[in-house]
Amino acid sequence: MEKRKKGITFEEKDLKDEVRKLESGTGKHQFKKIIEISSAYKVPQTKTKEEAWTDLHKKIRKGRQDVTITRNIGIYKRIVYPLAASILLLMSIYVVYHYSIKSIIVPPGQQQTVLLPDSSTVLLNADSRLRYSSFNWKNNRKIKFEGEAFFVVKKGGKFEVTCDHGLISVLGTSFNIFSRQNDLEIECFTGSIKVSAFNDSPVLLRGNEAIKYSNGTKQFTTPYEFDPESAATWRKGEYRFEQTPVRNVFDELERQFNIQVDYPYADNRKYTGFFKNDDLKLALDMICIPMDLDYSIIDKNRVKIE
Amino acid sequence: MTYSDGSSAEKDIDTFKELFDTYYDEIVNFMYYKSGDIETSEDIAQEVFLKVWDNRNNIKEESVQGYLYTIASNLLKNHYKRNSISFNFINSLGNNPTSESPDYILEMKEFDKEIQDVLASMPEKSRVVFLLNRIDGLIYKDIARRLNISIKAVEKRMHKALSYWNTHTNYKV
Repeated sequence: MEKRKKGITFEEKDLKDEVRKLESGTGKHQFKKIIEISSAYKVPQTKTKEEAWTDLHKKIRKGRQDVTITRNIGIYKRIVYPLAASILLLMSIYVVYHYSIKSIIVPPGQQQTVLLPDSSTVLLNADSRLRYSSFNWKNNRKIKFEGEAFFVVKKGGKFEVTCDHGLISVLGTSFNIFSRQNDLEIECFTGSIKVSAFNDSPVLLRGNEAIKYSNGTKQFTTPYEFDPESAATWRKGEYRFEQTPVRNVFDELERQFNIQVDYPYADNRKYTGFFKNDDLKLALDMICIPMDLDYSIIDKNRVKIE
Repeated sequence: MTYSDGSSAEKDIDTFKELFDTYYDEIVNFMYYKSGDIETSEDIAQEVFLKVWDNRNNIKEESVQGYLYTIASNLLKNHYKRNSISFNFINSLGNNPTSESPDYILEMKEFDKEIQDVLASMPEKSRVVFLLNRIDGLIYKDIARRLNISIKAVEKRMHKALSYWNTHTNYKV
């Protein structure tokens, strides 16, 4: 530290006048006294320099540790304000997220087309559910889906559909998914898609290839070719079946006409054929005559098979 | 402060101790002039030197003084907000036993209190300059360097401090 210059002598010339004025202005000796006393002041201390060094040395040894100087800072600044801010933030995130969740449920006997934010379309068949978040859709195209639907996906980032038994991820393509109870069947019409059971490595499907999930083995079959002309014909109201268990055919009939079908037999008979969803009587004929079954329409919502 | 040339940690500490011994008192004083709170000033001084220690490889020796004052001001600003302050300077003149009359001693005490009160109410910039000059005995050039202001600015603040005394003291001795 520089040499001390005590007393009334200020080294700067300009101030000498100022000091002289002060000396004569106020009481005679007062200013001299002020200077004398204040110059002799010592700053108080709660610890000596040596103690301060010991403290500092400890902190350096321990590695950097934040010294918290919290005195004179109100509880509001320290705790309440940051807390309030974070709660507000969490709430707004929740609200944005909550209102961005879109859920579409199509009841039996109806079909519905859903337009996604990127103008991809999903045609949902009767009794199907679809759920997605429109928040940040462009970078996060994810859908939860159950039922049957025909997807036309616009080109872009990854597009993922999650079903009960598998995950379908695509870039830009059109495909049909049938995902009901124990069954999962995917038909790829254009482009290519990746399909994976949750415990399995993904399988690549190209155009006109389809794949089925077998509930027995919990695995997918190897991809096979299909005829796009006769597939996913439900979009035109036609339901085609090939070697399909009769119970599954009646399930589809229930969905399309919003009825209940009582089928008392637990057999494994297979049906090949088709029905249309515009006339219930005609549809029942199409199924029951080739299978040698009788039916009676009990009321608007109920059919009994014998 | 050049610690970077591959020196050992122990050598670092020695150099740092020298720096601490040189500047600790004046940094605490400086913050006390600003805040009138000795405990806070001492706490923050620890933080100031820790910061210098952490950045010892990036600080040049010739700039360390200005660096210390800048960190001290900033930390004090962040941690200390109070509208009115009060001083508790130790009056080293009153310590020597004298033959003065008790009346005189009492008068001196009152006068001392008045001086400290006026100091507390003085604008901070003027007060800091005045006390650095009076108590630390620094010449204007050194004050200017520490506060990173011009000598002209120091003169101006000193002038303000002196006129403040003129208008705020009535006590006649």
